[in-house]
Amino acid sequence: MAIRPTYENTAVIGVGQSAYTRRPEPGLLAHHFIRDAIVAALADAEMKLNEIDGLAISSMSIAPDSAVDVAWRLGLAVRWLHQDTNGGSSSISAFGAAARAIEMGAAKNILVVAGDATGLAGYAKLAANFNRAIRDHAAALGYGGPNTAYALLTARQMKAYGLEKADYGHMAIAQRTWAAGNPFAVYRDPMTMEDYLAAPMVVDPLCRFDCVPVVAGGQAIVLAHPDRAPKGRIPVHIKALGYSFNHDHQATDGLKTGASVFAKDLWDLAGVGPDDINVASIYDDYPAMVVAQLDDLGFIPDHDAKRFIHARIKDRSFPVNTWGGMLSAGQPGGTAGGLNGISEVTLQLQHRAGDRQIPNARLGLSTGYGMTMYRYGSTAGAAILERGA
Amino acid sequence: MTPGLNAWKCKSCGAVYFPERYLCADCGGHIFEATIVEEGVIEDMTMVRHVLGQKDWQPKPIATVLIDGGARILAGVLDGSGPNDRVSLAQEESAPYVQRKT
Repeated sequence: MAIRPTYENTAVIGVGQSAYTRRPEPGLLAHHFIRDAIVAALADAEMKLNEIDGLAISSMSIAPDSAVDVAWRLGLAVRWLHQDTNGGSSSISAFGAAARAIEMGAAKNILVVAGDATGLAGYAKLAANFNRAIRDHAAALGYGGPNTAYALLTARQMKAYGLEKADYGHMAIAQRTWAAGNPFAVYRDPMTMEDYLAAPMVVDPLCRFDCVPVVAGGQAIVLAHPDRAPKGRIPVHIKALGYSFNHDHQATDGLKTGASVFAKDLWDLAGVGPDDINVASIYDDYPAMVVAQLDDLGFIPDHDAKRFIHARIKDRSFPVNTWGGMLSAGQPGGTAGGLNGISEVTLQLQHRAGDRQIPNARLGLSTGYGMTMYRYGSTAGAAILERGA
Repeated sequence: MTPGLNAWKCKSCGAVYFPERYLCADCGGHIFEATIVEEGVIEDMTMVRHVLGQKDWQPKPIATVLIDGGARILAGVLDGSGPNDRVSLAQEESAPYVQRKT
């Protein structure tokens, strides 16, 4: 008989983030940005540092340190420790691991943190040495990082779905409009279709506004028993989690993400469907990957992505990436992007999202996607979250 | 640049892999033999016009190539080949390149 996990003893009770910056001051490390995020999250949760007994961390730039080194530098003595280095779904994986740890009694109050501060030159070096496959078989070609993999994938998606460049433009523009309500977003000025279409091509068919801007930044959330939420704070509960890793062995066209593997189970476990979701954070390293995940998760009727973009995303009637997404807010190394999505859904479900608040939001979805180990991402995860009582 | 691509073939089921694998995803076999793949077909391609941190970058064409035997790889394009073209494979160190089959 299949196990149906429940998360009755776990809730998101606090969120926090650091400033995001395109060019960090010399000497500032991922550790500093993670520290700033933790300070904000603990204040939000009304919790002291010494009440934390679990830590999950995702980062691509804490090396040569490991999670325990970061715990040491942050003054954290914990009885549960977790590190995830598997790209853009690292944070949502760490989030699930932390929830399971609380349900199993491994820890009571867990900080889930993510952050990076590679700098632009550091990111270029990271991209060329991402793993053995990229270092040995792609870097010498002029691969130059994941932009190339997603340019090829976007070209395939345009052909398969009948999408045009301007369709992706509507997605980038809608997210930029959302970003205006997020004081942490690095790009908040409105963008027009003229701006989008005039942007320099980076890797055909991706222009500058299709490529996620790398930033330095950190993100943190506090998971604990819902009764531990600050007075008057609505806890946010986990209804279901889904994960997939190396779903197709990099052997296909990559148009289906790992979300296609777990989508049915995710909705079944949650007892809800795509039409019930009030707000969604879809991991957006590139617009094409938002399309792919939305379709895999069943949000796009008849797989007609063009119609969905024009009918639901362009006018923002379907609230996706209401914080501006990484495309406008910025991507700290990839790993914090997934955590930012969870934070945003939490704020929306707690009705604390300020100018960008979706009225009466009750049910939300957040995804992670990434680890572009050769031709496209190989990891995927999703969480369905619910406003508590 | 040497002609052909050094790939790996599962000794149990014949599945062809690039990059190297240590267990076969198709049959679970763990013994692989080196095989040289000489040709493939370009499925899609792009032009890398800008790379972070590079100032004097010259655009570089990169393609997805379905190689004979079934694996899909990333390869540099040495000539004006494009989608659906049948191409010859070559490699410089461990990086694959293609050009139109002559």
